[in-house]
Amino acid sequence: MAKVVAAYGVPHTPVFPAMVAAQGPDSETAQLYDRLRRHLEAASPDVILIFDSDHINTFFLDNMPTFAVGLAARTWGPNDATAGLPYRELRVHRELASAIHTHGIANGFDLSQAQKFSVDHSVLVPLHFLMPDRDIPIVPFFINGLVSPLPTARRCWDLGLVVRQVLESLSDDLRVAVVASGSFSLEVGGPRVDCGKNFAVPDKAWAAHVVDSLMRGDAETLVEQASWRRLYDAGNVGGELLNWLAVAGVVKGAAPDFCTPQEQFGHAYAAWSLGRS
Amino acid sequence: MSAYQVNYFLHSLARHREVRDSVSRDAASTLERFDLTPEERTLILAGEVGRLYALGADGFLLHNLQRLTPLVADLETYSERMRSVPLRPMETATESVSTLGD
Repeated sequence: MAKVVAAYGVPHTPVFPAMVAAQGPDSETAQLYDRLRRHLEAASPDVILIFDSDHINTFFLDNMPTFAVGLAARTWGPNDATAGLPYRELRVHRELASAIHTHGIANGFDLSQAQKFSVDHSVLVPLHFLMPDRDIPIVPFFINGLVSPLPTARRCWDLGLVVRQVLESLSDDLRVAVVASGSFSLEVGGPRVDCGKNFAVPDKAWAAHVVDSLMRGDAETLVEQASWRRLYDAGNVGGELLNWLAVAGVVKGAAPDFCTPQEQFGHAYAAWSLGRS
Repeated sequence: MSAYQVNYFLHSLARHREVRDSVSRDAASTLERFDLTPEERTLILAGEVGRLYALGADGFLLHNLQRLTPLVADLETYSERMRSVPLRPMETATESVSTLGD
């Protein structure tokens, strides 16, 4: 049985690698990521399954999947010219990716597959901080969080529940860590940006509410509240919350060990411990 | 305007160094390689991100024009132009859709 040993929620702000390199290991962002890195190392996963929303880089509008699993043996990035983020090749755990793809379809989720793909900063920034010196294979799971119409919050929660079932039904003896990449409220490049910036946090109250709900172990209320309208009001990448709701499904709504917000960015850093043994 | 073709150009900026380098050398010639209308080319060359957004281009992809080309001078210019146009309403298709049982 593949076992989910830990889960995480992380931001992927593209400037963070360069910012942390400039500000050093004692900076707030460095410390927040480092707490997750230590948690992950203690969980000792064999595979990292990352729920991520492609930023119209891996895919384009000619063929934009609602849900897709990456099935290549290897991938690379960043494919979006993110300054300060080192080029990196990543191993993909193709056997597990393929099993999730097949069993996901068997359980009612019509998942797309990508057999040749690269990844953007939204995958690489988290891994830059979570496994700076390691090469743990990943399973990239793409959830459309940017291009309307998005999958519903309920569908993403249910997806997480099914992924947990699928993992636990497999004969492989694998330790799996699950990661959600994304913000709760963020506008990038659109008309809601702040003066002199290319981003803004349009709804800090919603971001704070997400953190509170997760900490209470009440992700199901978020699932009810996270309508298309609600996500749109949170910013043009507000749909990244869907990755967190998929992880909330994987952990069956359990409260995280911690969920530390960075209010100025509309995101948070969370970790769940599961089944350590 | 075809938002699709403008978006494709903006996507290509991020994905292909050759496109970025070509735009830096000669933006007008580079745009000839994309299936853009004269109006779209003019707006892109002028870095008119707000007007491109108002005509349907994707807000996220538009920030590539400032991030990856010299066509928008700086973040102040970018944010000023983008903030001058209204937020598009959520897409009609998703406003009006209903699910069985509603």
